[in-house]
Amino acid sequence: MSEEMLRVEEVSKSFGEVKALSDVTLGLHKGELLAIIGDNGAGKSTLLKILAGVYPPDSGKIFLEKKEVEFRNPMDARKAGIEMVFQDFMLCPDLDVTQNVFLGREIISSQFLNYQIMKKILKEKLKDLKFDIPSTEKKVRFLSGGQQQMVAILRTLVFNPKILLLDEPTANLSAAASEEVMSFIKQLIKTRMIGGIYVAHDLNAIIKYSDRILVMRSGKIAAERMPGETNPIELVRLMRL
Amino acid sequence: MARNGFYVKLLTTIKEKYASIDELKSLTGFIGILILAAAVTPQFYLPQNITILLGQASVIAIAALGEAFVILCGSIDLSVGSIIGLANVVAAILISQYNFSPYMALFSVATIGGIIGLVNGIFVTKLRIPSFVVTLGTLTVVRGIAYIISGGLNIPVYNDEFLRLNEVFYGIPIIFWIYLIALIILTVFFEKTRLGLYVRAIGSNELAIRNLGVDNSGVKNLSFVFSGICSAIAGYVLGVRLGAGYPHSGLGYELDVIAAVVVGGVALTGGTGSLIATTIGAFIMMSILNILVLAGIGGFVQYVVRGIILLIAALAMRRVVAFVK
Repeated sequence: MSEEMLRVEEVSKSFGEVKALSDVTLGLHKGELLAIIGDNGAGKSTLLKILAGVYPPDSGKIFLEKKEVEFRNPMDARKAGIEMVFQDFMLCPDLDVTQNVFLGREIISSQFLNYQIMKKILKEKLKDLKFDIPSTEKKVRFLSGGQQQMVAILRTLVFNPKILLLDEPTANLSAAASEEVMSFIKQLIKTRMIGGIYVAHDLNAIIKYSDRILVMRSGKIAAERMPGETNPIELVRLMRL
Repeated sequence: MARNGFYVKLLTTIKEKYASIDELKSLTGFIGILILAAAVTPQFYLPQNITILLGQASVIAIAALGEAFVILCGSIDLSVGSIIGLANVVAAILISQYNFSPYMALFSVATIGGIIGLVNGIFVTKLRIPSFVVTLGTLTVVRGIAYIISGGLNIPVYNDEFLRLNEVFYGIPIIFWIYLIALIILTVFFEKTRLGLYVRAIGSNELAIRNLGVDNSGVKNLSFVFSGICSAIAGYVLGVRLGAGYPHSGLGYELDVIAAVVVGGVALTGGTGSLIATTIGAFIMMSILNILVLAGIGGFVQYVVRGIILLIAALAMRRVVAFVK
């Protein structure tokens, strides 16, 4: 097993009376795609959002490359190298592809936005990744659902992340496009030795692409399985015990 | 069949291009108004009338620049008319009673406008009260202050330097030059800076901006500050045109300013629009009112027309948004 790059220790989170996460502990290794499954309300998205700096945890610790980190906001997490693909994309439909990809981390020259450099970087990245996006100047609202999802994924990859958090990353893609995107992400994680945490409902895809599966129930890690040693029927049973 | 497909694709591309250039929609409307003017009242094109129109439009257009920032953020500022009134009165008092130079008076009222805008912004972002309610409150408070400090009386200004601002320079009213300077500065800010980008991004998807770690409250506050400053400058410019401070000046201007922004193609839901389109919107509004005056149609009818323009613009925007979103 390769070196552990992310460690979550006894993290808890409540929203009012509702306990969303209860003493969650997990580790993520370099080059590993870790899947987290569970029914709605099991705490998967809350866990990802804590790691992305969207919510602060009530208690517990997070270690990134063995160093304790505290994210006061999403920008802290992004600066630390943690990027998230949100379930509903979190794109601004009235901005173009370049503006969306660089949003929050624009390139500035003499106090002004330098779109020339941003577009150049983006075009190189698009070529590198072989993503089919018609134009970097097109407003996102004119893109198809699949292309918008690609922009959301692209936003996480442009800044060479250490950890990718993927909340239903292929929910809006066709079966063929989903295969392509997940194969690409898996390959990226392996070749660049980054870490990935993947939340999805498609158990066949989970078994196919992930290296390890954690099952969450009522805000806790309820079970751990290796993809080769389980099947969708057992996973459903573990989710609902 | 293949040819049909080609035409459908071509039509879609043209529609997309048309919808994606914010200025085109309002420019089409403005050209329509200019054609209408030629048909209804040829006096519209007389140089004297154009000068009057530029002066009238400057007041609304300056305030509309600030309002556009707020609406682009997905909020609304109803206090603009009252800030115009207060700035008009304060500038007159500072110049005529405290011997302020016109430029110091301009700086002072812009600061007051900025502070009122900041108060609006803090109530909206920190106390989470809808902007409609907050600015409805400040609309009344600020108007009340204008009446209190003026004692409800008109304040004439006899300062030559101030009154000279109502003259023309290269055939164009000086106050329109002031407007052009404000337009250039704010357009550069809006199109070329990070904060301008965030204004559009907040209106487009505020939750996305927050989840990406951008300080959306700070940007929203700043847009209210801009609105306050622009309204105050508009009030000062109105004072230049009137040569006095009138406590009831700017009454009901919020409707004209919001109409100018919406007619200019800024979506009331935020995110879409530009400052140049807002300028065109202000000119559409003021040109229609100017045509009505030239055609001898009375002030009461003008109120009805103003309301109808706003309703048509809102309806048109709804259709555009439905097509493009």
